[in-house]
Amino acid sequence: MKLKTLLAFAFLLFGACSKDSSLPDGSEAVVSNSSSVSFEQLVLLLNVKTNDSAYLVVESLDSVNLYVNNAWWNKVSSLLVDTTRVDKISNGNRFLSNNKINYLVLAKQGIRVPALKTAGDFSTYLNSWYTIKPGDYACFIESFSVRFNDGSSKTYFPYKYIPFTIIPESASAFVGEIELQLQP
Amino acid sequence: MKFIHFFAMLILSLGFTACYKPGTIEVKNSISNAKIKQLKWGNVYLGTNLLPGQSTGEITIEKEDQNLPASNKIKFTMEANNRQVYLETEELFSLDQDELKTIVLTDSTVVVTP
Repeated sequence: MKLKTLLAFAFLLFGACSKDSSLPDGSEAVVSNSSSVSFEQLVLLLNVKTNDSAYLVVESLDSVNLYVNNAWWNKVSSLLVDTTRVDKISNGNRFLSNNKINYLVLAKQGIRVPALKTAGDFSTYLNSWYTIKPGDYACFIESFSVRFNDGSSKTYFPYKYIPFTIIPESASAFVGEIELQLQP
Repeated sequence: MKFIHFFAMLILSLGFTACYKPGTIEVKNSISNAKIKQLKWGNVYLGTNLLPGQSTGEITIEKEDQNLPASNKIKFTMEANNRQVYLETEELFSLDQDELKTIVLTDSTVVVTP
């Protein structure tokens, strides 16, 4: 009888080793704005006029530096234009045309990526994205560069503000057709 | 002492020594401006949706979850500003049986994207 009691006690000891573990609830919280369309891209048509009212003909406008309100947006080049088929005249180190040449600029938001080593670096990086909501904004063209026929290049600073509107649930906005002046 | 008594004492002793003692782990999110989701120690799920300042509470690591002692990385998805990234700590965090380990993830915690 004693033996049975002792054995039963031993089994109880073994059984007492396991206990319930209660994990916290694993349900996902709803992420705000995750289902809405996030704004991504500015669309601009740029043409460059010279002093003699002719239009500059180049393959592309380089390093177009853009801001939205006071926040840096991106520095991009326009899409390439096949200038071989453009009716143009040579004037010094550049080609000019009497016909307006528009350069298409598609500018997605650019992020200056820091060295990502720590959790804080990643948090800063994720939070550095400029969340842009529907409404009225000003696009600021700070500068652009032109490469001429002789291989030289020059940066111009038009400092031009162009108002534009972002409508709800849109991923891009057309800023407009903008004439830039090529200062001497 | 009779043999039967000796045998019973032996079983009792084995019972005590063979008893697996689970460890306990708690992770706190002290990363600025970021939520932590799908938090794991190795492959052991610890919790999700931890806002800055929140912790998982004490999570018991049973033998079937992870045989202790063991060392694992903390794995999690960081979410901020509607963007997220999967990260793992570079450091391994060890846990032994019957141990309570508190891990605080801070801005200076070194992480990698595998």
